[in-house]
Amino acid sequence: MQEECVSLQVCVSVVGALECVVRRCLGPDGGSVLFTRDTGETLITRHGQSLLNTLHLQHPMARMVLDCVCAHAKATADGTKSFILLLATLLRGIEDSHMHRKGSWSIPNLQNLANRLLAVSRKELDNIVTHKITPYASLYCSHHSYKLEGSALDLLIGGYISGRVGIGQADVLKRVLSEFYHKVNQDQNAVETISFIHSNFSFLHTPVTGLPIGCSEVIEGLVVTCDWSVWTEPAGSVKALILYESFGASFAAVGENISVCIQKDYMHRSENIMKQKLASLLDLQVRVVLSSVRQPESVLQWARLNHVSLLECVDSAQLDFLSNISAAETLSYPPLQHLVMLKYCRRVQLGGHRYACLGTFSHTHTLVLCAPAPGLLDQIVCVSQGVFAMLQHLSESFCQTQSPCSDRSQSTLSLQDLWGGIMRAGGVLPVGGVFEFLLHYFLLNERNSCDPECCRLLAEALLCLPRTLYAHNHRRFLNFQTHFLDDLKEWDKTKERESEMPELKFGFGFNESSASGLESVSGKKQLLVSVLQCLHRLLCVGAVLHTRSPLCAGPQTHSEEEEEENPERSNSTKITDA
Amino acid sequence: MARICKKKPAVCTDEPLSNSNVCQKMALLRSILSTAYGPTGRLKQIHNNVGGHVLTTSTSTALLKQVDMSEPLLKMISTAVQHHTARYSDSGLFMGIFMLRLIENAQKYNLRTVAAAKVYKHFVEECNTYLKGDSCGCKVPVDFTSCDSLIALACSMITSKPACMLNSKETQHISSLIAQAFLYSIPCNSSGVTCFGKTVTIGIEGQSVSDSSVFPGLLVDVPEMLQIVDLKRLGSGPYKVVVFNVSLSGDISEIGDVALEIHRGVDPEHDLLQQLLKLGEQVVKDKVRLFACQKVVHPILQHYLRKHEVVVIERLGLALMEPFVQISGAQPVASLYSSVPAEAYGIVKGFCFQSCGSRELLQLLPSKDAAVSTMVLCHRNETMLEELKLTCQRAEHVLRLTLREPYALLGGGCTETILATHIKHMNQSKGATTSAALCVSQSEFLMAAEAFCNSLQSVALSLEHDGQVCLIDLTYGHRWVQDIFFKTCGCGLVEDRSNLEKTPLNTAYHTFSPVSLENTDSHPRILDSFSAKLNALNVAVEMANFVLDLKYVIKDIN
Repeated sequence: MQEECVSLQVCVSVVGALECVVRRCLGPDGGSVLFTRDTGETLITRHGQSLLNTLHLQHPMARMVLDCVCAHAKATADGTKSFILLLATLLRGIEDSHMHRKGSWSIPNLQNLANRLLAVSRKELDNIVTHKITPYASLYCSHHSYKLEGSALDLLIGGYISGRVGIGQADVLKRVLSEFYHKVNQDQNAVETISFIHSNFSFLHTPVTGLPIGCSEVIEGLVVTCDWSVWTEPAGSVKALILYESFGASFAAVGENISVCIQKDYMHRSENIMKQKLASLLDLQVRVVLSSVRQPESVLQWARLNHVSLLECVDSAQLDFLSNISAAETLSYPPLQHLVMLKYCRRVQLGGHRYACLGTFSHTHTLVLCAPAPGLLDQIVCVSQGVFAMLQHLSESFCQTQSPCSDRSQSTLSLQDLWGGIMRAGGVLPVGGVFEFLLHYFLLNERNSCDPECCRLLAEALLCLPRTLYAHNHRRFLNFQTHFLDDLKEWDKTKERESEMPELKFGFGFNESSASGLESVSGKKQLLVSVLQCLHRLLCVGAVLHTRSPLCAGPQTHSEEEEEENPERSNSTKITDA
Repeated sequence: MARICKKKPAVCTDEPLSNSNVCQKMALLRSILSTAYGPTGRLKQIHNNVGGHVLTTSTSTALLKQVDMSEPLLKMISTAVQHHTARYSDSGLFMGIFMLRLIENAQKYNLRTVAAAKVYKHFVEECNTYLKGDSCGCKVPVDFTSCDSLIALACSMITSKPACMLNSKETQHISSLIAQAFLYSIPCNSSGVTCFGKTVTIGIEGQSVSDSSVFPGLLVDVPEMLQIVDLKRLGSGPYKVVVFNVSLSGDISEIGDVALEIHRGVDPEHDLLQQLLKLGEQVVKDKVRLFACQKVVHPILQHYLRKHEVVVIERLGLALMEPFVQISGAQPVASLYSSVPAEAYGIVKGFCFQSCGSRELLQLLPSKDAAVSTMVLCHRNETMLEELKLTCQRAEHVLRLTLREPYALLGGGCTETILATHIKHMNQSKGATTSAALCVSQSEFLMAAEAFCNSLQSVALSLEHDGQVCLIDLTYGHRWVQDIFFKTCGCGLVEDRSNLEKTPLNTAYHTFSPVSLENTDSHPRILDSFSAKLNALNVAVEMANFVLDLKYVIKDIN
């Protein structure tokens, strides 16, 4: 067993290395990363989490940070790059303050500091966000509602994707995603719509390569990425059969090493059985058969003769989804068959492929995402998925804060305009470092704080995010900062006098011309909390022990299969408190 | 259990575009593509160092498919081009050259990534509006009342593929064949949603190109033991047809990979053969004259059928099934144990023998106006034939694309020069406001504009490989070659006259709005696909922006 001491310096250098990779990709002016495998796969990404995952980090501390990042990303789908930046800056801040004090940070000292920081995140942070930032955001939005053209949702989507796709693609993608949301929503409950899209995104989008991103569109119905094996244009709504097994006698399902005993007329009889099954379908007036497996040729022939459309090799998860959303009727015999009513069946041509398109009675729409090459397409799909994860987190946290107040008003509100409601309640702020500036200011001016040192540490670290965002133009950062702080002081004064509010001038984001995006306050707060928790974990580590025996730590036990998938876990590492 | 091995950390390259090795490789790719561009493009021979197949080509599809890129960046560029050509069949080289030039120029002018990307994006949108607008000077409508523009489109496609090795007479011949095949593939008098018919291509090696031709209907290899006498005995058509898509070989293999246990006294193969013969009896009774099968037909059944004057075609193959079903209207039969349903029978109008060079083929004439034709292409050797086959298929695809967007663009580099001129002209009036709207400084905007126009013009320049000077005229904005024998511009629309002012391409000249030629009798000789070029233009800019945007390359070496 090897022991490796972990000092603050080690943490700083490990997280600093991660920061180096991540900082280039932050914000709309950041770049992207091309990831390749020897197998020829290429992936383009600006997505913080996949970026860190691709690095195959070796240092146990780095892997611990990665675990924290993943946990955070799973909840909010946002802020992984900011996470690393903030963590690195905080660690450096702690190191610097140690230099000033000329004393040494012993492990207990560091642990103590970590605990205090965590306490700040529980108490002061909550306090500031609820009592200072939220009113401010709400005020800002009411002042600027005339300027915030388009709905709050568009701005939220815009704010999210502007830092995640290349320049010029954000506009196109924003338009398509917002169109998609509105078409799926159709004036229904926004919260439900978002969670529906979020949980079923893989069925609701179809990727197409070879076309520019601008060709992305929303089409009605559920697109299935295979073509009809037998196609007859049905008129109007039709009854469809969903099927998971072959009509013919299939021995593959039974297993290997079987022998078949052939009797006289075996073939004849097996074909007769199939014929009976098929005849029963006609009795049920089934015009469309959707099958997850290949069907024998004779079924195809039957379908052609009886003008039944047949779709083979459909992803069975997608079939499950279809039967869920269209209230399928399950047949008693044979097993695993469902009957659904379809509004229509069509053939669509997407990027040179013919696909089937199924119309359902619930307003299903499919998001068609285009990109020139597969690697780029992955990025677009990933970002689109992320948008709905972020919106899901936002709507959830909004509902949580609202529900204790009054259930009735909230439910009517969310039905009408959830996103406008969130905006008015101060749940969102413009992108481009506004949240960081506000928190920085309020943390420094918090009068009854019990731990001014920690507040200062946190406040200084927060500024690293806007600083990186404006990295190409430092003067603009300083300009922005001074104007903003002046405005804030003015605002504080007028607030005390309860008189008319001054014009709040900030929020021009990166582009003065184009409407800036919005981001969620709760997401940002969650980010800060996650960073501080991760910091706490890092600072509490005293030494790393490398063992050869497998690690089975409590509930996180990995099964053997899982271990094969993640071999990097195999060089087990135990992180212990010293 | 598989041995668990430690994963190696990934290899990172920081700022790939400032890496001289990467840039060098990119320049090499660009020069490979641009030297292959156009009618006088140089051929590329690809072979691996252990021998084997040698490929001679100048098309982007064949070239990029065969060449493995070592650099991930180039691999991505290559994939993008291949995905474009898979979809549009044309303008792959244009896209590659234009994209690489955009990247190179952005570096040459030392542009900020964001600025370059924004301005490029803006200009490509400008190009889209111009090309789709009515006042566009480089677009001609495709006239479906005459074949001229269709043949011109096909002809430009073929001339730009020098590896086909055709002389001008052969080019003319092949282009008219392509137009003919395209016209055959459009179904007539049908209502509602229709699909294109099929064009089946058959290649014959060692024959002169002028022997190539297009036949309506389907051509298949003459079945063994079929004589002209047999056809004569059949009398005149139409003939009843049946087609099977399951094997009639009499094997019981379709059960799958299982052990068979057979009772004493049961002979499944014999039973099966009896069943096949029963089928044969029914078919003969129903007066079927053509018996076709996708797979193998049992010899005894074949013999039986032939004896009863039925023509048997076996091993049709999956590819020919669809056109066969289209021409005959028959429905493939898959069941051996029930009688053939009456609806499954189809009809062909007639058979005849066609001898194409060294090969004897049986032509099946469609009963109704089924949009199926067979193109027989002949060429002197295998490599050229392969290239010709691909080119013809792509050219037909390009013609099909015109039905969706019935336009063609001027070829011969004229579209590129006109676009560049148009953009320069636009910038003169609107440059200041645009740069402010895009949030880039005026100087950055001008440099990016220069980079964009320069890239467009260098595509036009790449058409020239013999050291002649490329010119642009200052009235219409067309491309010219400094040669006394050329009396027209690159596309053939504008005729030379003494007072037409010209200047070498990619030199400084005053901006002007390109005049579009109206009321002229001359027709452009060279046309490019509108849809393909438009998509190539957009994808090229998008890809260039992506590449410029890259800050890191991570290579997983596990």
